[in-house]
Amino acid sequence: MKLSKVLCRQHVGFMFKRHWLIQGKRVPIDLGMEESLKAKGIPVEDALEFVKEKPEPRERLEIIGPHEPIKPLDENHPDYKEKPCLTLKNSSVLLEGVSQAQVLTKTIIAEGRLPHKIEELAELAAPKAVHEGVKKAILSANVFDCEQKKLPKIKDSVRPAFNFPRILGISDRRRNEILTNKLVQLVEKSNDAEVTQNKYVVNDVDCQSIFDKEGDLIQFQDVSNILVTSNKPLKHELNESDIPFIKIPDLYPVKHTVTLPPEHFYDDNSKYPLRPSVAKKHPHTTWLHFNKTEVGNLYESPVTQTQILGRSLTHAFTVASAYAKQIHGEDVKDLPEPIHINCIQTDGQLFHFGVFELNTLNVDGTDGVKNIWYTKNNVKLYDSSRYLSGMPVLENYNPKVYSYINAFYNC
Amino acid sequence: MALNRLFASLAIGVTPSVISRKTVQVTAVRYASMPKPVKPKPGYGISYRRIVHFPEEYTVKPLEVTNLAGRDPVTGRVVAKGIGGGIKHKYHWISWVRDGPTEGPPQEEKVIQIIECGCRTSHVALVAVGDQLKYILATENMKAGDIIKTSRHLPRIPVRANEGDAYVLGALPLGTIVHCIEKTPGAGGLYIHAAGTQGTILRRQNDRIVVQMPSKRLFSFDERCMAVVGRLSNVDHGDTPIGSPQRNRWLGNRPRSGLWKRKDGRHGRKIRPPKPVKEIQARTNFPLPAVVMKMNP
Repeated sequence: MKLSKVLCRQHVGFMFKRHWLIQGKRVPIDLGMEESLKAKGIPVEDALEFVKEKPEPRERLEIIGPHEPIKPLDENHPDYKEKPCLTLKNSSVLLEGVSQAQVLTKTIIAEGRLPHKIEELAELAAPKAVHEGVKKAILSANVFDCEQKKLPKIKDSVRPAFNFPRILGISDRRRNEILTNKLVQLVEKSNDAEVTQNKYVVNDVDCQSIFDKEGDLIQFQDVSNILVTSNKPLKHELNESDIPFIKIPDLYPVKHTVTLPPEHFYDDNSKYPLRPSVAKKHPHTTWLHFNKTEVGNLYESPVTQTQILGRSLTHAFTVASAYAKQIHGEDVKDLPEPIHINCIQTDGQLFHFGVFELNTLNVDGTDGVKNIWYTKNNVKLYDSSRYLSGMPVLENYNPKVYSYINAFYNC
Repeated sequence: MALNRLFASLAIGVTPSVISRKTVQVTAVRYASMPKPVKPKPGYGISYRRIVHFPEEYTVKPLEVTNLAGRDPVTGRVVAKGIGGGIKHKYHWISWVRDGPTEGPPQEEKVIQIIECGCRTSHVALVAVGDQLKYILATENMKAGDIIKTSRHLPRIPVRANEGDAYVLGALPLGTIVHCIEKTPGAGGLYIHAAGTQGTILRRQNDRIVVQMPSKRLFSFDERCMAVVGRLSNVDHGDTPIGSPQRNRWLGNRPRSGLWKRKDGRHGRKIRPPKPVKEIQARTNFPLPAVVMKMNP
């Protein structure tokens, strides 16, 4: 009697097991090779004697070369410090935006105005051919470029479960790079050789400024997407007295160090990207890109307008203070003469212009010498630039933006 | 000759095995003494809806989740029917302990933003205090820029509290609408979390405060338990129909069993007398640990 149930279904695993039980026993056929070889006097040896054993594991060698092994991030790391440094990076923003940036950098703001000289220079009309060039630059950045990257996922709040097809296109980083570099090139092209020969244009340079504020160590790590440098320091005449400055606000109950995460691995010194021996090292204009996919809040909410504007101010402060510390040393407080720097931030469509005057690096409290920030925000370059029924279209081009960029370059 | 030897070592040795009586006995004993598998049960505060991957330290960064679809993560068995699918939402880690000073003026906090969280019904408020950020449950009329207060001080005269303020139950006047009440002082808000719900402080019994819960049951709390003033946000949640079976699937719910009968009593409503006031306090009489019996010594 069969104890187990008859298995009616086919099972490929059982089939192979049974097959191996039968086929696993194989009898080799004697071909008489051994005897015939012996008859010819050829010695026959056992094949198993030549089957080698597994090779022994070799000892791992430490090879000394140009690449050093990455050190683990622990207390023995050379950059490790006991005191944490509150860090603001290029990809993060301040919670309170402009107000917090004002407190951190001890700056008063002249909202909606730029120095007289720049406003006068911006009034000069550029030739029509230049504006045609700007229009071409906008279109080549938004429409004609051949980059095909996955763009961020589209979400519809009415239909949250709907998965839209992923669109390939030009990423915001690429778009900003093309547009700003072409604009700088156009400005250089339309200016005299004497002006352009006194300037350098460098791309993607790191700036780092470390300072102390009310007992907290704070560092700003920023990237200038384009840094225009000149052979002599930039000077603005900013002795206008009738400006309604925005005073440094009180952030209570929020502290000014909110959303600055503490870091234990940092460099004690500020870093300006150009060496002091370089002739054209003085910062003139710094361009900052706002790439929506790269800059964000820790809590993953969209970045607000005031946070974007705060970014301009901290960026200008980083470059100016890193430069000041290279000239006057790390411990400088009130500067003998102010340092000026122009700053342009863009997301490819909106332009935020600013002029920063660095008077002091003593940012404790709200009294005494303050830094000054002149801004003109939200100048739109165009309304839309895309394919419309198969045609590349640029709507509502604003020539004012180019005038400002040109004025910034020439001042 | 050599090949013969080579193949001899490869062949599988099949020895005829005879199952003896002793073997059967040993096997039976082994099976009988095996502990029964612990079947996961629904309830006991485990939802079987999702696992949230909490980090070591508190953060406002929305956390990653693993949806469970009603399955026990250890055994993989289906425990809760009717859960599955749905949109994956990131989890906003609420800071349940609203800790304030026990003496002096209350701590002030600023509401930064009101966020709709997919993992709970009421909205969530991002709050900044000092250099810290945290999430709390948003009240009905809370908006960005509001200043809210927190204090553990128990004054002689009741305080005049605004919506969103957190005080100990003993500090609030009778009739105050509260939510997010602590079970024991310092444990963190536990009762009344759902959208649009509220409790009402009814009366005081010596050092205990009687609160009417959203279910109309009366719970008696220690007077040092924290509670947040006001009604919870997303009041319309209760009146909003899901709308369609498909939207119910978006919410992660599978079709219902069809067993519910309101009128005939089985799986339906029963009419019973109201329950007495329940005293809420920390548990003291813990049961003894279970003794595991074994067949073999």
